[in-house]
Amino acid sequence: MKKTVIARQSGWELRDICVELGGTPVLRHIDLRLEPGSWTSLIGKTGAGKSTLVRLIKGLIPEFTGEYRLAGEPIARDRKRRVRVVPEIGFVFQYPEHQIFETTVEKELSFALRMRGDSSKEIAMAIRAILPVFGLREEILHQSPLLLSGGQKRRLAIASVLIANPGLLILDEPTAALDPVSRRELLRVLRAWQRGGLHGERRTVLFISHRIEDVAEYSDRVALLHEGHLLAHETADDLFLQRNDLLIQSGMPLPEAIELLRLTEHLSGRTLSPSSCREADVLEQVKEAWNARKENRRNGR
Amino acid sequence: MNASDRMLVGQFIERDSAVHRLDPRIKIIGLLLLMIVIMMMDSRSGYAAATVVVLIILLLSKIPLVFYFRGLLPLLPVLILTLLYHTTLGKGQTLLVSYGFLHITVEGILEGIRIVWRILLMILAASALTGTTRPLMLAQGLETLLKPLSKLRVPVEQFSLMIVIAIRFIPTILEEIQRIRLARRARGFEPSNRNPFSRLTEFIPILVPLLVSTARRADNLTFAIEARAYGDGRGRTIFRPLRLTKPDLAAGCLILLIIAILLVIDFNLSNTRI
Repeated sequence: MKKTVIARQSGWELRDICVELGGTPVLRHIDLRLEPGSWTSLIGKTGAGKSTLVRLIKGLIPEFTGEYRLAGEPIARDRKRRVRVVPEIGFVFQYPEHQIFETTVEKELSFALRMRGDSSKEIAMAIRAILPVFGLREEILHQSPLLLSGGQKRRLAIASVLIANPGLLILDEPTAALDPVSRRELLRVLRAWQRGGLHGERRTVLFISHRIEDVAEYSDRVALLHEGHLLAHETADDLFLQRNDLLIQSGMPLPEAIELLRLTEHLSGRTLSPSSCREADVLEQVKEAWNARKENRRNGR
Repeated sequence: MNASDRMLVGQFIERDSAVHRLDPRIKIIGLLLLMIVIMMMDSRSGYAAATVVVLIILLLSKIPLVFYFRGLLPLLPVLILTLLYHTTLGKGQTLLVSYGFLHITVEGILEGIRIVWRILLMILAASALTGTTRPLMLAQGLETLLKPLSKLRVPVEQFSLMIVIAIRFIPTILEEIQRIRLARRARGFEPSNRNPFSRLTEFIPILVPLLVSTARRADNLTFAIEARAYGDGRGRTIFRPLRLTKPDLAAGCLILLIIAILLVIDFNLSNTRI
């Protein structure tokens, strides 16, 4: 698919996008450019317009004003000037396990490839490659997906999207209602895939999550939506380490580690600057500050 | 296309109108009487009067008429089929066209129009009831009306719960259909818009997961209901019991009066039979 390659290299660009749903403005003057090969997280309170924005990017919202450029070209529209679904974008909806519709696991996995017209040999290879990544066994291929466990179903649903090797992957709260271990495991797999683990090339990911800790841990960039406005589109480090005011303004919580960092700064009177907003780096700074304080106590008064 | 944009037959629409406030029992009885009268109609003036009455009810409900007529659209094929059936296979003397077993007669055409008109009026009247009454209120009204039957060991309360649940799950099931269609489209499935037959076949693969998820949901619901200690339902009281107020009674009398007038119009002027 040549088109996929083009889209992958030149990114996705929104200019002055406005969307109204049922008369109420949902998105207001959004300008957003997704860097190819980056993991961008989209955050914001419920109703801020996150789901609408990602649906728009996938081409599921037929009517909007503003300009949506795909690989430098305005997005294709049909005769009624309505936008069509963008096939190069993979989309994992909320509760992906509810979107399983085929009769066997194999058919479910191959659906997108069949729709694209891949040969059965290519399909078999792709399935064999993706199963171990998601910890799925080959024995289940001919079973009905409805008989799988909840966790397996979710992994299957996400694998069925990833198998088509999309240039951009949209994840709308993929970890909602997962237990902590499964959540970390799923994010680890997705991260590895984004870094080029399966297809050897960095992928672009747009990730919606309500767990701010996951956002700080995995994102390269963060887009912050507030009441339909794009309040910030910064690197994760800038947003979480420098611009906490933006998060507070939009009613978002700080990651727990950052809260601890601020508390430590307040108590010690020192400014701490961790090397990144990831939990391990932040906690290291916190630990150092407390150790330094202990040292001072022992040496000083 | 969003499922919620489409008006469905029997969808409640929130407005502040006298029809909305009326006691559901009065509305149900009124509708029943009106339907019986419509069924009995056989004069032109009777039809005209019934049409006027239904139109007035629709207008009083303050729900835009567009909603009602949009709700009729899915029923159009059935109505057209009914019309065709009666016009082509009708009996009567005034033959217009005859071909094989098809006999198009003036009487047949009139009969077809009359029956379709009748069905239309009844559907519109019924959607005025469901459009202005919350499903829960409707079920509650039905339950209180059927109450005497429980003396005859008819499981009235279970029956009304069944209705409530059925109504409650229509939008949920529609949402489910929408979700599966979206999932298929997102993975590269192009729905064909033109051919109605292929549009129909597109639904078949959706049906299986839909049935499975609906069955599972029903299972969960059973657990939830049992977990809240739902017994056989005898002796259960209602949180907000229905009370007939004076305006309700007045409206009831008005409805009776209108029904009577309709009957009088229909019988007295029945020399102008269609």
